[in-house]
Amino acid sequence: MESMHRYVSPVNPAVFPHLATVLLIIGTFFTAWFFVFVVSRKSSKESTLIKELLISLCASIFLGFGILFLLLTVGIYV
Amino acid sequence: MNRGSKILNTKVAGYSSLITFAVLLIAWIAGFSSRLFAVIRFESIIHEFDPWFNYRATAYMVQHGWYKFLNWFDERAWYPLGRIVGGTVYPGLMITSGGIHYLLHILNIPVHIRDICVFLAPVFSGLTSISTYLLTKELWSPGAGLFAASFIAIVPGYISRSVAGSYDNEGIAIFALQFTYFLWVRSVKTGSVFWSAGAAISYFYMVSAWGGYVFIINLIPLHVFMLLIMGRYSPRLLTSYSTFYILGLLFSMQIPFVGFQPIRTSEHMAAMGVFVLLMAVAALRHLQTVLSRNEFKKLFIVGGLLSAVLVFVAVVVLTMMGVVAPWSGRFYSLWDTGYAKIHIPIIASVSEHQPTTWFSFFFDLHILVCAFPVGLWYCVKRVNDERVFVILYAISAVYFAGVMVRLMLTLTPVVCMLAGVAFSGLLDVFLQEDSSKRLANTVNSVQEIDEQEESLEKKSLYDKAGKLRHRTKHDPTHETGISSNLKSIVILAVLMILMMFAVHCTWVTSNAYSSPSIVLAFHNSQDGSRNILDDFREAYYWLSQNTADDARIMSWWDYGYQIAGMANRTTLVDNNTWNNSHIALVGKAMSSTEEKSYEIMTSLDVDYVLVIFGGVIGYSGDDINKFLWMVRIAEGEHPKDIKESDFFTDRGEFRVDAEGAPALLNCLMYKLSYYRFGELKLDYRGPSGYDRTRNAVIGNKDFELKYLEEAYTTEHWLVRIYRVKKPFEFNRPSLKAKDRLIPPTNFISRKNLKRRKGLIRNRPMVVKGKRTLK
Repeated sequence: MESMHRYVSPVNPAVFPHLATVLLIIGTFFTAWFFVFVVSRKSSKESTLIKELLISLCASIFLGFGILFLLLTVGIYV
Repeated sequence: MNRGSKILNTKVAGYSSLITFAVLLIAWIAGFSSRLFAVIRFESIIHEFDPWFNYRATAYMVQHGWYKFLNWFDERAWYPLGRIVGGTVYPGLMITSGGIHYLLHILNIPVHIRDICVFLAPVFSGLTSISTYLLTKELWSPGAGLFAASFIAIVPGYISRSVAGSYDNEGIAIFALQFTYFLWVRSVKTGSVFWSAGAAISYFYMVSAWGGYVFIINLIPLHVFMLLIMGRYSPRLLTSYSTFYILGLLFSMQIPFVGFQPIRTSEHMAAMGVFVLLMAVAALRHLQTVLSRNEFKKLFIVGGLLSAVLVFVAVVVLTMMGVVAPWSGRFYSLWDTGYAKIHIPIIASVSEHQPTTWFSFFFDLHILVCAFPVGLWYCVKRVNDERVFVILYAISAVYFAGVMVRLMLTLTPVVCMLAGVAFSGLLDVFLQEDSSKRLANTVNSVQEIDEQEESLEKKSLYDKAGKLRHRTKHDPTHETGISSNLKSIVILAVLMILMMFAVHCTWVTSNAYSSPSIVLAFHNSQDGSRNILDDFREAYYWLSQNTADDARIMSWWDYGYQIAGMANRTTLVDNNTWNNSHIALVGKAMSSTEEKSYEIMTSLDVDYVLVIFGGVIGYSGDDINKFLWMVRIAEGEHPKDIKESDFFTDRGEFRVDAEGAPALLNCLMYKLSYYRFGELKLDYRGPSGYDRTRNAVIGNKDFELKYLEEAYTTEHWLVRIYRVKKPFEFNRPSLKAKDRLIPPTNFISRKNLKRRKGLIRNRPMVVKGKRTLK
């Protein structure tokens, strides 16, 4: 018991709300971009797979971390 | 050039679908969150009366399985008759929440069924707004659809039936209604069997969810009929209606509660008649192509007359023979508003069956009620097959909403749709493409006030680029002559109105429709603190803990479901008012003298009587205020014993003070409500026995109960429970302890003046500073 250290978050808890907001905004932006990109694509002539994957990867990373910090902000310790 | 515009178009399509998606998502979230007032202020609890039965039935189904539920005979309701629940209930609601519960448990998400029940209606409101969007999009334009979806997400007329905790059929039925209409309109448009079969399946869900399905099965035939009269017959109509009718008929008969009604009752006859008519028209059309003109004319007249007479005679004969049941009372009261008051007091006694007052239209719909005729006018002006439908929907719904307050609910969706059409039409005129660049900026800066309207606004802007060409007829007349100043003023005004609408909706939801009504809250006027009155649950909990498991509780029918749901005890009558004479018997017991009602109560094996009394706190929905309905209902069945006029004073007043009618002052309900109330002084200066609800000092203060005894009264006297004495109890002479020859017990108390404490044997002595001896 003595040898164990108290857990300290690698990110300062004071910035959780700001971090959540910023990450969610960026993530939403990428999601919107992906949405528009996919819907407005004309046909499967051009190979856009790489671009689609990249955008969706960005969106999912940002949204995922955004939601993580959102949960941490409101007190759900995941 | 061509290629460039194509790229632009796909780009616009991308943005517009993104905005559509975003608006619908925001509408869903906004609708969901504005329904949560009750949960946040009170707790996650089932509201009111009927939801308690639905909840109880759902919990039963989740616990025992679907087939047990279908065969459930509930012996705790309608004692001694019982109720076949599986066959007398619309199971759609229970299946929906039971299905969600099942699904979540498969995914290892352990949610209590109560929470699913509480949040079911808010979740479904999002689906309703999506289906409203789809329907309005079919009828008018996507922009109007988004307006309509946002309106219906927050409009109070719909929120009133779908706040969190209001677990009732209407919550999911409005979604089913809108979705059925969407599929129907789609099938009329396309004439495909696929869409009309979809409409029939959605109709099946609606039938399983709510008795209001009769509205669909009369409105759709009316639509077909109108189209036939207007000469708009087409093979598409034939395909869609015949598919829908046959499939819908077969599906609706699968619900046990509906059974053979669709072919046997008058409410459903219109659909069948229109089906036959449509077939006849189709046959004539076919003959027209085969026969010559003269032959056809002869055949048309003779055949038409003959078949009309034949159908009429058949319907009359079948009705006379009793194969086709005549219209039920509730439907008569839709046509003749005075009917219920004269013939069926039990229907008239429910406050939501009263005619609607004009301000409740404004209260529930606000600006939409003003914009709605405009949308209707647009639809009439540019009529086509599916707009005929929405016109008929609007007209019939307005009529029904005027007749009954509760049918406001069916009016709300169509008002939202047509108001959406109106606002979209308005913005079409005032947000022209050519000069809209500058406008869009000003508009956008204003719109930050309300995000929902903002996104709507953007939508109609982007929408323009793709849709402009369709409205060339309309545009040139307005395009010139409207200065940009005027445009911006109008747009600002419209935005202000929409913002006020959102504010009004939130205010109404928070103040009028978010009270669970089993937990009451009131604000103390002096210090502004908020007090919670939890008397109902206190009383029901007392019942569940202190009475025998098979105890039978008599109360007025309003509280039957709550007693069954919360106290889990047998009731005599409840909110499923299927047996009028049983209710009348309870009403008779309540309005007779104690002696006479004791006979009724013993014949019904009543153990406890529960009355709601609001005189102490000024709660106006109590049993004394409902009392006249009990008398009226009792009089309907027992005209010799109970007369309404006996309960009024000579001047025709209903009063509880000393001038009240003697029949009232001595009836059971009065005595149970005011037992020992005469001793209570609510105010230091005021007289004792002052009833705050009716603002009167009660007339009959000093009385004893002979056949009943007070069992429990809650903190604020809101619920009072009495035990009915057994026959051997009340006529036995009671002797005071000192008069008895044999002292009741030889127990002598060891307590005296010095030693007042009791003692527990073998209790260790505790001395400060020392360990206790073991």
